Amino acid sequence: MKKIVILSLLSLSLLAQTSLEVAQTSYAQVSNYKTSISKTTMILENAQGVKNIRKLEIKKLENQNGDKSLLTFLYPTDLKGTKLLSFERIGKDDKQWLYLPAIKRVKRISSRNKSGSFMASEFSYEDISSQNYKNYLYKGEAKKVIRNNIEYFKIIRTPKDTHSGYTKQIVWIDTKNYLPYFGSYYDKHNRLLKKVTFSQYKKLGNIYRVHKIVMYNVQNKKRSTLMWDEDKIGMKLSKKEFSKRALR
Amino acid sequence: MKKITLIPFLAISLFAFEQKTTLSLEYISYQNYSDETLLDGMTQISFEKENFTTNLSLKYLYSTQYKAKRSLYIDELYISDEEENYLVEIGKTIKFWGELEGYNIADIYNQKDYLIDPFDKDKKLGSLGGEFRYYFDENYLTFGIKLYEEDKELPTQDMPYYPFKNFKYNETLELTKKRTDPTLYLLYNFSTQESFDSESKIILYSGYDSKRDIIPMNTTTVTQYAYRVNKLLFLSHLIYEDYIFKTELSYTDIVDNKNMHNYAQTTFGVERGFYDVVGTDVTLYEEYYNYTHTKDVDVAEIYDNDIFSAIKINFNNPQNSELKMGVLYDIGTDEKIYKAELSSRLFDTIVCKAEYLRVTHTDRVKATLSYLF
Repeated sequence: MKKIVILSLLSLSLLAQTSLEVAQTSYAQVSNYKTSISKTTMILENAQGVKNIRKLEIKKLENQNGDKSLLTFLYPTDLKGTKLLSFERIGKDDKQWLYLPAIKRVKRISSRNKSGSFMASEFSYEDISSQNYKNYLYKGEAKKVIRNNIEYFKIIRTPKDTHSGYTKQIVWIDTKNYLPYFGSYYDKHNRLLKKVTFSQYKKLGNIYRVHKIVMYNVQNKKRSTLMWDEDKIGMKLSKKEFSKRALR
Repeated sequence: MKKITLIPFLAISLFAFEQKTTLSLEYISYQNYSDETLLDGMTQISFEKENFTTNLSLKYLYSTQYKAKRSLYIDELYISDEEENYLVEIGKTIKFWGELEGYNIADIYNQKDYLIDPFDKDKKLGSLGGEFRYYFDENYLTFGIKLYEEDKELPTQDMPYYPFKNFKYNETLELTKKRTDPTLYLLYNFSTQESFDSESKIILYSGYDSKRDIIPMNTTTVTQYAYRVNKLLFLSHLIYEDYIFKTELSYTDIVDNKNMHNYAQTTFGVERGFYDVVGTDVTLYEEYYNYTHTKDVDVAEIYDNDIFSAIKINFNNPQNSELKMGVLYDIGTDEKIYKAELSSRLFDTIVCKAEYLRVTHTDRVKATLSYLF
């Protein structure tokens, strides 16, 4: 009898995965694209359902210590040509520069701006930066839960950065393909702030790319949707395209 | 004939072409002068092919009240070639050298466009020249040349903010040498990341000063006099936690004007951002400007022993609504200049702006509607 109990416990521990392991596998599914160029549309929707559209080009360069990205605003016209260069630095404050074409000025932005709104959307700067698992702390085993008849790992992660706008994030990751589909993000008072949905994954080579993210703020009832109109990976992009040289 | 028509068409189609036009209709109400309605437009066109870019900015102005503000001119027209390690740029350009928000003592490449608005530091006139920039990773060294000194238009006698009271102003520039005598500069931009996070520029500048000496032409008329100088400029910003500390320093050695004496300008500033404050982003600015000259010569300098305090509130709404308020306080004379500006997007292509300015007890109110396409 004892043997049976020990064996079943052993098999359980062999099958169970920690939240960190799930997060690592999940990140491996979406990373290693090296470089990407995407054209996206962002729809901002207020509590009354009135919509506003933004369009931007996003260039990304993967890096072990943090990704580099260059965002160029394409629409509306008054923002056209405005650029945001970001250097993510794991374990340190990020670096950001804004290029204002009307006055030809490159302006440094305070690097601790994690929780501020990105382009007046419900996405914060930390929401649009890479979701590298190294940016979070994980506890315990990943629980398996059923949601909409699909099995997910439910993991809880805590941002390492003390300037994050969140105290914790609960993420639902598909047990079959290890891709995140839902998230609930909690504010500094530990109240539910945002619900996020990731969908329309497309496989480019061996890498999954999300093509639609909906961020719903449960406190102010506003919703922002980010959709990928074009997405290319493994492009020939040089380092200079992710340096301050690109800000002109 | 068909072939001739096709060739230029094909040539154009090989370039990436972009245009952006801003048409602004402004209603400006002055306390002691006639109000005006101003059409202020700009069309920017750029052609890009591989590493080459050609840019054109065309400006057009029409005031219902003031004839001096009726013009059409090319503000910028330049070609640039950007290669792996260097950049070459030739033509009429506008550059920005500066760190602070209220005023930039280092922003001397272009003359300010005082005719359109003497209280908008970002309104500048394009200058003819060229530069060669060599990159070393994130740092770069630039050698530049300015080839022509422009006339400087100021508000005419019938307009608000005319600076010479009972004297007439002749806008044709007087110079110690020719207009085409070059102004040269060498700029080194460098950054540090390990001990502290900062970026700095050192500029050596030799040629015509951006400041002008005002000289009498006769008993009733004055004009501007351009003299030659050697300047050393230092600009820097440093990030420390949530603060950005900034400085612009300059020392000017006058070469050939006995009326002027060597002078130094020092400015310091600090910026602090607060994010997600009741849904808004709030940025506070505090700056100090000082001007010192070696002999007691009274040269007009507004930014002398002045403090600038400002706040910017970004409402983080889809209309990109933003409120900016600032005061420039002259410690010596107790004079104050107040400015407040509220801007918001009405539709995707229409932006509206309201502005209030108070200078030495006179008010100006401006309402602007801009159409962008």
